[in-house]
Amino acid sequence: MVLIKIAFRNIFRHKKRSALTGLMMGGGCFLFAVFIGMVDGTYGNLIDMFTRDHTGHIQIHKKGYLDKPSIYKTLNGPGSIGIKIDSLAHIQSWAPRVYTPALAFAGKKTTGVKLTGIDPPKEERTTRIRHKVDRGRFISATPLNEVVIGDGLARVLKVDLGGEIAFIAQGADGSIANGLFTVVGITGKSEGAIGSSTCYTHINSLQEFLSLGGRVHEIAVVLMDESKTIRVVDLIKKALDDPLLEVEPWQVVESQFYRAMQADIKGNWYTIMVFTIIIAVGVLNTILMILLERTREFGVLKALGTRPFQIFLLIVLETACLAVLSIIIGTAAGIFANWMLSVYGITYSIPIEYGGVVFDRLTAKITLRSLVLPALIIFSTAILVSILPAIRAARIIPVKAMRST
Amino acid sequence: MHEDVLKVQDVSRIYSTDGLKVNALRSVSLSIKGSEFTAIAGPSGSGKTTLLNIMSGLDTPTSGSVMLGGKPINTMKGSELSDFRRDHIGFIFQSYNLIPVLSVKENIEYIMLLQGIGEGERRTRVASILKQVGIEGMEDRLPRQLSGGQQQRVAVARAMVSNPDIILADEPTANLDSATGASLLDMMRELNEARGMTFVFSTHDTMIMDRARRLVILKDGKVAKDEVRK
Repeated sequence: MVLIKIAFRNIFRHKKRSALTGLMMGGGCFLFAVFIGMVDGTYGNLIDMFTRDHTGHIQIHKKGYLDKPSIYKTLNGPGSIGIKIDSLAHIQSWAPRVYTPALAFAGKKTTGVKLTGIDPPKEERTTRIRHKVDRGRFISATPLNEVVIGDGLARVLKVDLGGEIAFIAQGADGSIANGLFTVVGITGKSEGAIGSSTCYTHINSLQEFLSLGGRVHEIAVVLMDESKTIRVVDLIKKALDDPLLEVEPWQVVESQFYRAMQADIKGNWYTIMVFTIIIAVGVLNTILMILLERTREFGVLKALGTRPFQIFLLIVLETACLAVLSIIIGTAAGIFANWMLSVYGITYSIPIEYGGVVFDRLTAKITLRSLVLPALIIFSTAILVSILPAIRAARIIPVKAMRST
Repeated sequence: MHEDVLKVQDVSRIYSTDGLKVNALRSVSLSIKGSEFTAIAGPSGSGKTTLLNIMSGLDTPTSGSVMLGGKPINTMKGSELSDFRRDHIGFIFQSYNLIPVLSVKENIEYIMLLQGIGEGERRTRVASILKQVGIEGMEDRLPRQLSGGQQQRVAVARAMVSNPDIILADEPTANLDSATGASLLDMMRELNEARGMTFVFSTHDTMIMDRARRLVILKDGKVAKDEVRK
């Protein structure tokens, strides 16, 4: 107890030096908290936009569809699959989809597109596709050969609301499918590169167009909590119990995006590592200075009967006390900054496209990670750095130490 | 008749500096009995501080042995030696060496805290010693708020409060003016008489030599004179 008292009071003995070291540790804690908060906020946002805009948290396909998509790899009876999904925990909603590559013609313009058949009411409950319509309206709940296209595609084909687009594709029965669709809505510019091939129509219209009957290519599932994705994948697999179906989380469905995101997160850890080294050097410098200045004092403490381990403990406790004070201040400042960023964010002067999703605002999130990790990193670094000087102090020979000034 | 508290037997200490060997102590033998008030004096370089350091286990002799309370302290190491010093030796240093962040009361309590003595006992002992060394009412002050004489009184209190077998004082009056030094010495002498506590001083201060009941003069690392006074 007396050692804790000495350690704590020693912090205030050299106020300026302690303030500088504390600033380094507290500042580091603050920076890490904001950094992790922004990473969590940005990626949380990114994942949310990515999954809620289109992908969903989980997708169900016929086995092999993800590796090599084909209009022939279909799911029979999406309704019965949906009933099984609905009975599971954590499910928010699901939506069936049909896909086909097609050639789009409008006047003299032509381009390749990806036609996506969606069930408007179900899709509305599952994703935010409906809210992406910038001009016009979303496709009707009844199949009326209507399409919603991306802003990019509208520009390529030079069509506007009310215009007609002819699609040609290969039907599931081997025939050449062709049909005329009316543009009822145009999605905004926020879809980036995807917007130049986006083309949504009613699932029944596309099933009829492709002669697919009631079959679909995909069922997208959205959960109430993204963090439960892997657990729910297992639940769905068990509930469906069909080896011909593949149930994959968004991390597998959009593996390229997920890998890029992971690499980016890894890069952030290197940044944290560099900062940690800088902080460690600063703290080490302070402790070595303490050791040098107080050699005589440690000699006296040893002469009076303080055990070597107690001297070791004193140095470590002193560092720990300063680290705890700095962490409290740094974390409080970090929480405040993350809260400000989560509410107001920072608007980019030029929006950034990542994985086909356009971002115009940097936000942060207050997560347990952003509170605990910086505190742990700073505290363990400070303690680790104090160990060697503490061992040196413990080994001090009193008679030599007391000769020093 | 008091028993030997400390027994230094045939102790030599050779320092090697830059290849040069310096004989700081040459076969010194000395016994300190309980309740003695002894001054070890001698000119600079005579080996008095070295002898005091060896007596306290702060330094180890090149040869010979040091027995304190019947135990050989020259063979003790690490925590065993720390604990032994804590429980059996009281120190008074030339430059007081109080712990700057602890108050007077906490400085006096320090060794008792290391010994694990309970709060009630500590409080009683501190109150009593504060009175004996004449610094009552200053218990909450920090060392920097005290004069040199007051600080040395705290150091005396710290050395005595745990009732050690012996108190070793290295030039305790060197940093004090003569009046303060004399008053401090008188106080220590009174404590020695009242409590029977054993004091050994290393000094070249005539005030200490005059007050000592035994005077050991060292010269060139040897005992040149060992005189017991009445």
